[in-house]
Amino acid sequence: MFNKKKDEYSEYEKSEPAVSTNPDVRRRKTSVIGPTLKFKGELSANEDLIIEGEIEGTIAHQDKNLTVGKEGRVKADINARTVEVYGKVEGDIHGEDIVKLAKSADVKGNIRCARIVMEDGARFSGSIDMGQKAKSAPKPTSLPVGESAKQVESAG
Amino acid sequence: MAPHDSVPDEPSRDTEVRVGEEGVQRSLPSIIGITVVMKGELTVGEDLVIEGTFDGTITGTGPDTVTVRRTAHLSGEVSAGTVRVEDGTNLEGTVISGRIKLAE
Repeated sequence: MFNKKKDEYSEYEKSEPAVSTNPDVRRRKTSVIGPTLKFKGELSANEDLIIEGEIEGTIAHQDKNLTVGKEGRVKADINARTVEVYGKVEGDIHGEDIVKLAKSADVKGNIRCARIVMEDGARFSGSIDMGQKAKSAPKPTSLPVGESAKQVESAG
Repeated sequence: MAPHDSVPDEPSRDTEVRVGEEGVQRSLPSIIGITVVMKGELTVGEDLVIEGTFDGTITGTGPDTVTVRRTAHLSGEVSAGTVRVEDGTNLEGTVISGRIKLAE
C-alpha cells in the first residue's frame, strides 16, 4: 500500500503536470502561507507557493506554481506560471501557462493566460485575455513547401 | 501539566501537501521558503518557519513558535511566544519573546 503511494509521488515529481487535476499530492519544496497568517506588503518568490491565509499588496512570483487555497484571501495582482484558485482573489491574475478556477473560487479581476479551466460553480467577475501562447505548446515542425524544398536542395 | 522545556521539533518541509477538490489540506506550519522575499507586516497564529528574506514586523498572536533558519535574512521586529533562532542566522532588529532558543 505504502509502496504504491511512494511510486505515485515519484511519478508526480517526474511529470510535474502544469496543473493538478483530481486530488493530488505535492511532495516538494513549497512555501506555505497558513490559514492564520496575514501579510500586508510585498511578496516575491521563486518556488511553489500555497496561500491559505490572507495576503494584501503585491505578489511577484516567478515561473512557478501558485495556489490560493479554499481559505485563502488575496488582494493583489498575481503573476505565476500556473495559478490555481480555490479561495478568493481580488486582483488581476497572469498565468504564463494556465489558470484554474475551482468551483469554490471567487475571483474579481482580469485574467491573462494561455489556457484556462473554470469549474462549474466558480465565481468570476472580470475579463479574460488568452492572447498569449502556452510555453508548453508544441512548436510547428514542418516548414512551408518552398522552404523545405530549398533545404532539400542545399542538403543534396 | 509539565512545563514545555524542549525546543519544539523542527518542522519538515517534506510533509505532504494535498491539493484536491476541497482545496489545500495540510498539516504544515507556515513556511517562508528560501527564495521568498517579503517586506511588510505579518501576523500569525500558528508555527512559522522563515528560511527566506523578511523585512518588517512579525507578530505571533499565540504561544506558537517562530523558527528562523540559518538561510534566513531577517530585519525588523519579531514578537512571538517562542522564537527559535538557528546558528548562523542573519538577524538584524528586535526579538520580543517569552522564550528565545538558540539552536545549532
